[in-house]
Amino acid sequence: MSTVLRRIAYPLRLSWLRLTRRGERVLLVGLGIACGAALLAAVLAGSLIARDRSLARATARLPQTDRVVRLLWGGIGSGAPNDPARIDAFARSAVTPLAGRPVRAMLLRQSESNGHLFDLGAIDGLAPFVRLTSGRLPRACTPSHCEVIQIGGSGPIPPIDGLRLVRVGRGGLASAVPLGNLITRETYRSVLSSSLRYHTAATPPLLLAEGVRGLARAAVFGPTYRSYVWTVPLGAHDVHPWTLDRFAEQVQRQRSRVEAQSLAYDLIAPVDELRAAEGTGTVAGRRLLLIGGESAALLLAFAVLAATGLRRDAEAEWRRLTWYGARRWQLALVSTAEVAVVAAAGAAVGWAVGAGVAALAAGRAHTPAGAVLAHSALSPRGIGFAAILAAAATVVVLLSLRAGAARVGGVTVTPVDVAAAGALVAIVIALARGAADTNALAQERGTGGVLLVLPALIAFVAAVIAARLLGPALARLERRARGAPAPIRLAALSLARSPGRAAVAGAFLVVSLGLALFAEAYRATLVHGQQDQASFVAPTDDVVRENLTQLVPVLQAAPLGRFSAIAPGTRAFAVLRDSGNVRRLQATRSVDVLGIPADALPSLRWRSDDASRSPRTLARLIRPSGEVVLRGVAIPADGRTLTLPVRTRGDDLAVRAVIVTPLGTASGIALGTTGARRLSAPIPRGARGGRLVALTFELTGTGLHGVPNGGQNAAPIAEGRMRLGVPRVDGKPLPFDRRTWSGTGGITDIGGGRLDYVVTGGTVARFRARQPTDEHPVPVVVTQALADAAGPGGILPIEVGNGTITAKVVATARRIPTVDGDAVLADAGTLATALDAGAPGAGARNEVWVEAARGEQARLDAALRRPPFDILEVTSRRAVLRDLESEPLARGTLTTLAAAALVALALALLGLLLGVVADLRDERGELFDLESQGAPPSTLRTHLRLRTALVASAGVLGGIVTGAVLAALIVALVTLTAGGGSPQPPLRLRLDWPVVALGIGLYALVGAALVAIATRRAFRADVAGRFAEAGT
Amino acid sequence: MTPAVEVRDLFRVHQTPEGDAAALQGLSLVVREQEVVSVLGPSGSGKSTLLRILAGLDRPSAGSVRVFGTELGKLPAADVGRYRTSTVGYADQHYARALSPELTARELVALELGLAGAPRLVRTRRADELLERVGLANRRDAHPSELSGGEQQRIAVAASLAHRPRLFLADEPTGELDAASAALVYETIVVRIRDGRVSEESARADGGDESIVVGRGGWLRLPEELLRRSGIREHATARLDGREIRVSSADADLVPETAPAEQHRQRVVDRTAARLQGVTKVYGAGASARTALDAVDAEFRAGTVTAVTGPSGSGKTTLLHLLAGLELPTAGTIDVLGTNVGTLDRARRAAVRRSHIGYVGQQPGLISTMSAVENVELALALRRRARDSAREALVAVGLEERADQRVSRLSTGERGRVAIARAVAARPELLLADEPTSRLDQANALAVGALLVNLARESGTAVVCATHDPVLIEQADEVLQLA
Repeated sequence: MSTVLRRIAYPLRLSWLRLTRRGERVLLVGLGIACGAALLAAVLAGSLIARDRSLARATARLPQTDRVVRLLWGGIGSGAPNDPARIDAFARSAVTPLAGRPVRAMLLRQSESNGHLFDLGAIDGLAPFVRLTSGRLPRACTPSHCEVIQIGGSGPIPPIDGLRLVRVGRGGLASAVPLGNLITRETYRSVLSSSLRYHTAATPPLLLAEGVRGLARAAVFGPTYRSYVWTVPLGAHDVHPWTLDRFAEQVQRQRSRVEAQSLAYDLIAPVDELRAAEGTGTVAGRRLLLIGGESAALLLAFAVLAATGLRRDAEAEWRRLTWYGARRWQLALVSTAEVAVVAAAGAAVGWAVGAGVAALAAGRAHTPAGAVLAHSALSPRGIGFAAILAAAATVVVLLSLRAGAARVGGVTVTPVDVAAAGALVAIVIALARGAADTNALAQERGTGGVLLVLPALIAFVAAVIAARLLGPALARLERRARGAPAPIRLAALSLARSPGRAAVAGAFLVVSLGLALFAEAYRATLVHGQQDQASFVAPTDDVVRENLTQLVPVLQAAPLGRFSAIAPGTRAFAVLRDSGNVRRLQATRSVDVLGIPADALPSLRWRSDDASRSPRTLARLIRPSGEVVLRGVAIPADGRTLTLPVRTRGDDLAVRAVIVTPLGTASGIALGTTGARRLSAPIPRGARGGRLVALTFELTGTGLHGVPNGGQNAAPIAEGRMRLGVPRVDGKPLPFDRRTWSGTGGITDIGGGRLDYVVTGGTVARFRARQPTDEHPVPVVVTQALADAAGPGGILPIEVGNGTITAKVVATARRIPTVDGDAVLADAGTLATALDAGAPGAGARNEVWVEAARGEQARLDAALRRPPFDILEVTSRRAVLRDLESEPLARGTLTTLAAAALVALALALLGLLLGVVADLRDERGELFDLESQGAPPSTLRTHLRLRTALVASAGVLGGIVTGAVLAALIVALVTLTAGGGSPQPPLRLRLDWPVVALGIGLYALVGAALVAIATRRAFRADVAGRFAEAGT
Repeated sequence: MTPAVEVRDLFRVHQTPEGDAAALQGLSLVVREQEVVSVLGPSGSGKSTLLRILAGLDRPSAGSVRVFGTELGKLPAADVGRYRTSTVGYADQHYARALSPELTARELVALELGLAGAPRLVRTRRADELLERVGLANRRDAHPSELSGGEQQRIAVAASLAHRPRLFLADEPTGELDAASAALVYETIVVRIRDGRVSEESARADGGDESIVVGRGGWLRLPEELLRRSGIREHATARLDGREIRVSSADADLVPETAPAEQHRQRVVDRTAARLQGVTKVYGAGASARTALDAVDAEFRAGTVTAVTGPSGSGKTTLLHLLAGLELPTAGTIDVLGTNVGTLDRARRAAVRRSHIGYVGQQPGLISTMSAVENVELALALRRRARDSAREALVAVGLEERADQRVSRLSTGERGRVAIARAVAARPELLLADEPTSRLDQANALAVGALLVNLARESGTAVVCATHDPVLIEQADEVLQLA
């Protein structure tokens, strides 16, 4: 070996000797790096596990008919290219590589034989896909004897020439997988079939045979159009995030292939749906990296803290080696080799541990551990991450060991200060760019990318600021402590005169406690965000609406009282929801109009920042000053016939009585034309007990007879005068006070029971009861855009249905529960009256919001799943919350945050302990000296504890400030829910004060105990030790 | 012929928050090859600074420093390492700092050769040879923590000679060595010089060809004996008297006069301050057990100065630790002022020290972040004594001008004096001092010796010094020789 090589090798040997003989020195540094690597590896793999579980959940939630890979072929059966065997072979070659062996089926739709319509199909391996209700399952179909099972429709089995169909059983489809959308539910059975049957012909029989081959070969159907379908169901775990791209690529390739073969083929796979689900997972996974990266930064900071403790040792070694003639590069080689070995070993061990933990987690989550690791921690990218971490750790530790300072304009500037200034610039740029939503975070780079490292940058800047402030603060403290007892003076003096390590320790506590607080605050914010989301969707325990597949109005399914009677203490109130338009809005004019009983507002789950006023104030503002109910003439509940005496002089009009039913809907009763003196009609059952609110008058004909030029440019019109009598029900006069009624749309009350009328086809001529809302605008709470659009005095016309209500804006709200966008909120009664005044029935309540008594929510939810409520659409707040909470990504995020908070807290404790241990080690000589001068162990213990308490206090204070700033910024800038979606309502910074108080209390308690134990142990021996005097 | 060392008008100014401090002011010096030069001077006079500059570990503020023709002030930083490897051997006064705790004695001695790229066989052979020469051949596999202070010092000197330097610089190379060990070290150095054309400068050497005295105002090359007899310590006054320069001491009054022996006899209180009976101290257990003291009996009377002497590793420091209650004996009893300290717990022993004992450690100790006066005041505060005597004690050891300097900025000798001031300020009944003059120049050693004697005379303090310094031994009333 040449001299040059030996000069290179010798420093490496020295490093090795130092590591092997006194490796315990660097154990903590290695441990910090290992923990950081383990956390990062675990988060990398964990985020993939969470994404996989989320994708599996999304896959499982796809409709059964969509959760398949399906190849369709449609055409006639005759001709060589359409040979079933050939088609089958090709189809299988296309489908099998995608998802496995397919199930084959065929269908002859709407076939006809001898005047009989029928649907005839076949499935290979029929048994699992049908539910037998009578008879038996068919045997394999042959043209001479084709057994079938009827699974839908009605009518006789058609006689088919050349194919003998034998029905051997009846049943239904147990799975829509093999036939997919080739048949609709209506084909064989439908919830709506009973109502539709009146209007549609009876469905023909749907017959299924066993085995496609036999049916496909039936010569009789040769020229008949048929569909073949090859289906492979996709299991929840068949597609993973790491296989999705390949899956999509294969689907595309096979699709091109089959289309190139024939346009008769169509390959269907839920690629877009899976991509959408994975997109959310990617965003949430990236946010998990935010937490992981932040934790790794924290642990690197810990390594720096530990390395700072080694600085004295490292400086001593450099000094020694310098005396012995070591060159600069040899010094650098010794340090770098030593740190690099520690960093590499720490990173490798940590990465392995993290991967192991992730493998365990994958096993528990039923996710293939090998694949997860191969695509995360152990992927080339993952290994690269580990290498970068090791390299970064080496640089950071070396810097913390060797970083010097320069004086710029009288100020000492270190490389760390320069780095902090750079980080501050990056933070400012990130803030200037604004918030990152799901889209921004879905991108690899850009705003989202910057935001991901924001916590680490902020923590770093905070640490440097804390370290910078600590020195002057300690100096001031020292001046104040000059007359204090010896332990206090000693503590203050030693900290003030040598603030370096105290500053690093304090800065580390600032970072660790700040990140712990941030993680906890962010976790609490996301948890509360889930609750807010659930409350936004369902402001009461349950929101019940009409199920659009059932078409039964809520209050028709069950009266309001029925809801209230579900469980003791249950409160239910009817809500009116409609859509409207505000012409003054510049962009989207559509708004949601919501009528909620004013008294119910305070009981809703409003978030305090939803509106500028409290719910109680809002309720007061929209509550009508007097009684606002729909006025009209009460119709007796047992009334059968409504009669209206009327005498007319003029054109004939058709008269209709409008009754608002007890359910709030309108019932129009055609009473006849004014040509008859007495108009009469039976009262529909639903309208009995209702309220007669208006009489409408319509033209009886076009009115254009005899008009010149065929009526061009002429409008039909009816004119005249009429005298209305008192309406009667079953001959009894109703309490009809004509003075409280008024005419609109061409009807003018001229007194004495007489009405002049000019009726056209353009407007509705109406003689109606005057309503309390006629003279007063409806007080409403609106979103800001609507408030801005309001005119003087806050007057805002809103078109709802066929009418327009005049609203008065009394307050603004940032958002109104259950409404995504601009909305109007009014008292339900007032709104309904105003709507009914313009268009009777428009004020019908179409939702019921139900709030159970404490502890009765489960009972309420269960009751709403049973008749008569089961035909309604129920949105349960608990169910929504459960769903949000069980989302794997959300759980992963929250668990990671909780773990990060705990790790940060634990590290803060370890840092505290490390500081004491380092003090005890490095100041052993000084402590011995003090003891030799007569300072008892108790004084020395107190001195050390005071020092630690001072540093810890500064750290806790700085940590709280850092955590608060971090949490506020991240919550404002990273607009993601726990599950990775866009939050509605937006996230709001929350703190679980009991948890925070517990954390701080625990930290103080455990920290005090650790310091007490460490200082007690240090002075517990009978003597200080043989080498204590030298401080070695 | 190019001189080995040529220094002209050398200045070195240290900038400190307390103000600039000039360690060297206009030093000029020429040293020839194979010349042995001892640098003498009071602590703080710049001896270590001169050697550090010559070793390339520090840079001159002004002036010219040439070593074998190389101008050190202009030497690029990258070449300094090569200069040190090829030219200089340097033994620091803080010998412990020169020893990596994880390396064995043999590895330490071979370290410089290893860094220079010497083959393993060569460096091992050389290390063994040097260890043999300093009498530590049997300790070649020991780590520094297993060696006594003297042994460590010998290892450090051997390690700095291993690469056969052309200029050997040793800062207090025998400060804590007994006479025999010191002789071994000097023999090693001298052999190296005679063998290999080495020039040597030593901050304190008894066997130098020539001595130089470092003074605050300039340089005089005068023999030590002459200086001693003239009473010249730190400052000298020179005046022209015709064609002669008359040099007289400018701080002669700083040297306290030793009280006459008769007076001393009268003041001695006839009581025993401390007594050891059958004291044995064993470190470790089993095969690695090492006996530091074996059944030692001794008595230390009030008002007397006792010098505890013996070769390095003979248990001097251990004896003082036992008397101070800083360690406990394996066997035997230690009676201090009527109290058997071996039976007390750690806190009570601290209380005994606080009330009765002053302790000056082998290492100066002190809180490095505090000033000299603050250190003394702190010790007084711990003892619940008035702080007024702090400055007075510092004046007594000649540090009135350095009282407000932070200890970390003082020279090693000055720190030692602060430690002494701190111990005597409280006027303890028993003063234990471990090598109190090992890092002091002779004049200061004399002054410290006088100070301790006066303390004993005036306060009746029993002074026990572990030392091998003849100056101190000479002033002691009694000598306890340890084997």
